[in-house]
Amino acid sequence: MKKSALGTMGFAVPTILPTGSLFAATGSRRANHVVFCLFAGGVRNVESIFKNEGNLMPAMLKGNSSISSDIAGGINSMPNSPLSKTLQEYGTLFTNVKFIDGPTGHFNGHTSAITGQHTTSTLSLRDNPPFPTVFELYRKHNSPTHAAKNAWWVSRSNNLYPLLNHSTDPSYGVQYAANQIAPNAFFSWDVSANLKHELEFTGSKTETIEDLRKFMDSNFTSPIALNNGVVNSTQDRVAISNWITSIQDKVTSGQLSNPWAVNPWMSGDQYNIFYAEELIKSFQPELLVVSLFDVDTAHSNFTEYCNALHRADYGVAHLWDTIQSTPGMKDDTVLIIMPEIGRNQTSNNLVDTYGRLGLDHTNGDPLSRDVFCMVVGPPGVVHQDKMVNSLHATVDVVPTIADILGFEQDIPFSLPGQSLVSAFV
Amino acid sequence: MNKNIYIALIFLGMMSCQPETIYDVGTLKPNSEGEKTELKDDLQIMSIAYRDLFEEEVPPGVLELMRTAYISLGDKELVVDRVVQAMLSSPDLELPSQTDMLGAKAEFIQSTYRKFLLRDPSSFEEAYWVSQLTENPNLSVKDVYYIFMTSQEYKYY
Repeated sequence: MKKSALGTMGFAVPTILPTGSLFAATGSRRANHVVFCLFAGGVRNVESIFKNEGNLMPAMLKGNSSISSDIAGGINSMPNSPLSKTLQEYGTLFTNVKFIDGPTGHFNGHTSAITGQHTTSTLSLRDNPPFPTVFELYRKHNSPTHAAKNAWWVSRSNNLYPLLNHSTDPSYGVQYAANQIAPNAFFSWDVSANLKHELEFTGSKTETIEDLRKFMDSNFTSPIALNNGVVNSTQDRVAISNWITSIQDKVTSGQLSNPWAVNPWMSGDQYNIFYAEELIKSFQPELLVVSLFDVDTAHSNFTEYCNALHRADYGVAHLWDTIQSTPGMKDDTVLIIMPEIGRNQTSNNLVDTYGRLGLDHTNGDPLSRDVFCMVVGPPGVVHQDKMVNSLHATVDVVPTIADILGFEQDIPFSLPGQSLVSAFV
Repeated sequence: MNKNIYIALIFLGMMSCQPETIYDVGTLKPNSEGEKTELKDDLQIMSIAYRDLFEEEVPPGVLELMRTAYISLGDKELVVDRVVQAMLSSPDLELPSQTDMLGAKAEFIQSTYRKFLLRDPSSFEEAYWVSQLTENPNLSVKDVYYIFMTSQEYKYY
């Protein structure tokens, strides 16, 4: 049952379940959808919100300062922002956010952002995290228990990061996982071309096949419980499969060759946002997390890092425009944008073609822990064009999401962070 | 020219500079009592499915394609299902004809059980399948193979 927007009502409204029983999350919702853009790969406040190289993010941030002349030649021009004003003016910018604890590595940063927990050097890079992710918290503690189709993790790569769609916590786990996809890999041309061919099950044949499979399965006792990743209902799986086919058809027919007409090409980050937008348009998920990563080229190419930042800026504005153009998401979505870690104050010795030195992200450098966070949303929900300079933490995002979607008080344990309440009306 | 496998066609060209390595899944057999108690992992399922259909070990390029798809999507059952469907849709797949299937239903069912489940059907299973093929003449060989390859038993050895 589709909920109406509850953000301005200020009290809990019971939700009638299909069984007819009443059950309500303890808190009211500020909005019915959250999109969390992990502006990830390691971004310094120096180049982003403090604009030391000029305003590399003109779609997100106010200001007209020109890009530094020595690197301007390495920055691709982006199309005009689809928004009538900067994203900053649609929300609240937190300028003093810290990745407080844990190694300043990407996976640790992602894990903290998605679980709301601090990590240590013992965090395994081969296993799902030990703490429940925001996806599991959302699916278990929301009312009614939400289908996986309502929670998506759009990871930038299929290396490590798919592990973050669920934890190993025995009280949560894969049964509450997000639907995870690494679309740049999954919708690559070769995978799309070879996996888009499906058998045609039409009319009564679908039922016949299902009956025959039930017969087969009824004659076999599974000795071991299967773990096939996230479990979608049959209906949802069909919808997702149809969506996959539609995208694969577009890939192989060339329709998705630079759909944003970005000169000279769309980056991997921009494509990741594009696919997240396709999910938004098809499924209007209540919770979607999408990550970017191209800025990590900063290790060896500072100018390309600035270029990636510029491209990501356009991508996020495009994302907000899509959200606001999608019925069901428009004026009922909060977009949170935050890097997972920063980068060092001190450069390394790797020189790019413009003479600039690279930037790593090491534990001992304080700037590696400094990031920003932007909360964007409708005027009745999020303060517009506000800046907050007080100290906050990257682990605050998960309780913020829980606050927005009304299940913060239902989480049976304390999270180290707190909701970014100063963003909300 | 070697048989052009539809699924492998793109990757053969892309992989042409790499040394040929055969990924051999080995032979997985049920235990002596005929019970299947061990679970194949999903990559094994897809590799074995390829071998069962094309009667050769899966080429490295095809395996890499399957692996990429598998780790890129959280709904693993969906990925395996789509891989199986893609294999069955390959124009280079040689299958028994519809005429052969319908002309010798019992024999077809027996060979299908041996091909995918490594056992003979019980008399009840055989009779049921023969009746279903008679009542549903629009069921194709691909459909039957799909049912077997997506059954729970196929996931075990």
